[in-house]
Amino acid sequence: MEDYPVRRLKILFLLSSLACLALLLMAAFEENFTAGWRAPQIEFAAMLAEQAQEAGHGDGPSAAYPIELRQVFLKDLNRVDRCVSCHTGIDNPAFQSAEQPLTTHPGNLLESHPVDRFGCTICHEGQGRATNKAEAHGRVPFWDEPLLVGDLVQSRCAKCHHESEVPEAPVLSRGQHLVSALGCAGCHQVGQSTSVTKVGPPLPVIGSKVTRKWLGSWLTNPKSYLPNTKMPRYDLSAEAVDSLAAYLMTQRDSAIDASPEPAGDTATGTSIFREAQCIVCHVTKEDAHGNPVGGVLGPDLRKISNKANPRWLVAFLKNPHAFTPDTKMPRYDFNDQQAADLATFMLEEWVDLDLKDKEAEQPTPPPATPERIQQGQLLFKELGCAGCHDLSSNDAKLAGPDLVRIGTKPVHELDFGNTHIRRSTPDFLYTKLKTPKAFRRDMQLPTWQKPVEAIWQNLRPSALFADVATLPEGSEAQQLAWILARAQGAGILAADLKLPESPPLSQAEWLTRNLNAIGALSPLKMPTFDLSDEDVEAVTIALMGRGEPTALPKQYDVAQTPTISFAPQDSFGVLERRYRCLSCHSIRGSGVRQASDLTYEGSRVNREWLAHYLIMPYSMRRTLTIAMPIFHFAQADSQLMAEYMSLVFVDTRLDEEWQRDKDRADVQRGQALFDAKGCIACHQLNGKGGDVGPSLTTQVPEFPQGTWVGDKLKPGWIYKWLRSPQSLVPDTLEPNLGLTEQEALDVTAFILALKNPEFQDKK
Amino acid sequence: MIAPARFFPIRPGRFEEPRSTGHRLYLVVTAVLLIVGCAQAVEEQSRDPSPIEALAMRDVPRNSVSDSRARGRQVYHHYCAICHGAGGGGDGFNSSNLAIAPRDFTNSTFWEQVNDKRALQAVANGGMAVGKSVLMPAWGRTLTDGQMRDVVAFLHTLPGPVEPKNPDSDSPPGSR
Repeated sequence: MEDYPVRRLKILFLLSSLACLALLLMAAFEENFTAGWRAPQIEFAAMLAEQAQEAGHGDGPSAAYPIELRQVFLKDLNRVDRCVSCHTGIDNPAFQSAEQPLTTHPGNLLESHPVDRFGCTICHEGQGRATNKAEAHGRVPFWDEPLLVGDLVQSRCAKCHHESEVPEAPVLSRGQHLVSALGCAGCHQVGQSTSVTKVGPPLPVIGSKVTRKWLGSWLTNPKSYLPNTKMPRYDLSAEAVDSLAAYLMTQRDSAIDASPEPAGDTATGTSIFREAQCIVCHVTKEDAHGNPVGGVLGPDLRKISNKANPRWLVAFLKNPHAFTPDTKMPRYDFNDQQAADLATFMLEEWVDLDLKDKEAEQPTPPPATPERIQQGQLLFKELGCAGCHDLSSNDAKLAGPDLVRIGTKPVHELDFGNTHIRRSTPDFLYTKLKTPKAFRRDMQLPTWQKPVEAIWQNLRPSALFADVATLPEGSEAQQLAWILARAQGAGILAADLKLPESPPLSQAEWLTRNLNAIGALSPLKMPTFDLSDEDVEAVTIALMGRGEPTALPKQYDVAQTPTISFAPQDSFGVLERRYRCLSCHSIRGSGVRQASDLTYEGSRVNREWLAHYLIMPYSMRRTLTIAMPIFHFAQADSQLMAEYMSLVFVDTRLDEEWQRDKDRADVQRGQALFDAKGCIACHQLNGKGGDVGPSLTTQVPEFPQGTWVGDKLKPGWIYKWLRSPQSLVPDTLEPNLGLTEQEALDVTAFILALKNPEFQDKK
Repeated sequence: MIAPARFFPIRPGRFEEPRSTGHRLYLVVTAVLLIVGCAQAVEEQSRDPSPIEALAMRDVPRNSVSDSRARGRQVYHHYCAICHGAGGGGDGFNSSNLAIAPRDFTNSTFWEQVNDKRALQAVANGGMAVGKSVLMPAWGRTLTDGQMRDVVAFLHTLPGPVEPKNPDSDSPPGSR
């Protein structure tokens, strides 16, 4: 009987040993016969064998494909990716039509990103070391980076590609563009740069610029006036709108206010508007489907009469740069009468009468008392308006949190509020962008802290208390009463509220409830941008791409090519800044490719032609009604610009090549080639031919130098163009016809000879 | 002799009193709950895509990285549509200027006359190379081989003409 416990222990020991052994055997069995990656590999091996048989060498020693756990080990990335254990055909082009997981990687990205250098999870995320599907795809608790589906994977391109445009990642590129265009940097640190380009207009004379009623409805909901404006909606109370508007209306310019009301001539204004080609940048009407017609560089003018103060408009038209120093609008140098004519025309032409009626129905805004103006100033600061708008004496403190590393921030550090959305970074960003206040939670009084201190700490960051560093001394009840009085003084709590007669704790609860009710204790200030789903997705992806900069070794970095902005300080530079050439043209990578690139303009066109063209621009294509605006340049200015461009914007090799070879050129052979290559399909020649490329025989009577192609273009340019158009203008439609040097010489000679009478009547 | 006792130094007589079954049940239940709990933890989370995932996965032609036809569509609209028309009907904005009308890809006989190889040849070497209009230029030195294959793949997605309906199929099923 004494042995009993020992024997029993022995049995227990034996049983547990057997159980362990069984478990080990089961694990071995599972690993060797039923592991998830085995079935795909067996299928893959069978398909390989089948393919080998079809290719005709199936009888030989068939390509033995061992069934084993496969992995990619990347030492410098510190990654082990076993994804290739199931995704076996990922870099085998013969598996394009196979199903997942055996199928080939789509597209040709693996050519530049081979699996043995990049692995899988560096782009796709997921858990590389895992050996079953659920864990590998990372959709398990405590794995912060699950597999990225669809376009979301583009966010990971930004790990290495720091350019603003990544051609293989169109959604990421659009997101990057939106992040800068929407002015996210006004409130958030979104990149390494600390300088902020303010995307909204400066407001120092806003009070003289717009009407008070327009400002009120604009602040309430900007998109009701301008559906595609960048300005977000702040959901301000009527009270707050009145205060903010009262403050902004005090920002005035006495000279504008004192100037006379414009009374110009509408007909003259119409022709000035047309000559200045305003429609290149401004929307002025809509087409049959209601889509806006006109350019998007400048603001929509269709309701300008509802918004602008006529006196301001005249002053602005005379010199826009005085109001908005970095505007894209050129300075046309209208005189008083021209500006008045233009303003009169614009204000008569574009008025939304329905909106006028609606505004008339609205109650008159309350008088702008000094308290209201002061409150508006506080609100301006508090809402972070200065992030987008310049206004004198404002400190531009970023209103929102730092987003530089948001893409790699651990998910548990993101505050999802009381929502039930999936806990992941993309879901967080998507919801935040769609409904910025979704994560707002009411403040709860903590148990570990004095209630009045908790309230104070949550209220302190608001503008209400910007000038108060500490709570005034006193009992808790006195302090609570002081906070209440201050909030009532600022107009955010109703004046008739009274602290209940009860112990400080329930008084604090009462105050918290009232402050929660108006959102005063919520730190969430982000306004609503009302973006489309596509835009929200793009911005989400761009933000997910912002991560820890040291995540990858240096050799993987694709640096952003530094852009050197073109800003000459000489007299040409003065003219460029005055007429804002770079708003439409580009020079050495600076500016906009709306009109032609001017980098080699001096080698492209003849100086005499250019000097005259600047004064009298015309369209090179019959069907194109938009041409360069008529700036009424002074003779000396146009001469100076033409001379500068023909001396500075040149590539001397173009002319050298032509001078070297031109003696070998033959006009007759050129003409035959011109017909044989079908040039006429795209180019007009004596009234016949296509409208894709510019006409070769444009005739503008007022041009003393002539406007035939040979009058305009330099021979060296034509010669190079014929050999390789894309080397001069990378995105041109003109195909490279593969002409030999001799052929290009001949065609050049023919094009130059076109003006001679013998070629004019033949076509 | 009693070797295990060295590993399990227990008080003698401990096991002489049988334990209460309640105690043992408690242990078993705890163990089972623990195992089930762990098993639950590694189970895959919901696979339903969240709104942002649904957006990211929607099938749109703009996902040009993976889809040859979508890439071809971009190339077509940039280079070809000006003459051949956005819908491929040979009615582009420049078509009226051409002495020989551009090819209508929606014509029902188009793919009977032309196969991929010939279409590719026309794109690469121009109309003359396949005995057609000289007004169709050669794109072989402007576009990459891949771009040209993409364009031809895109041509297959253009809608053909409306097939003449089988008169029998007009009546709704089951009406006879």
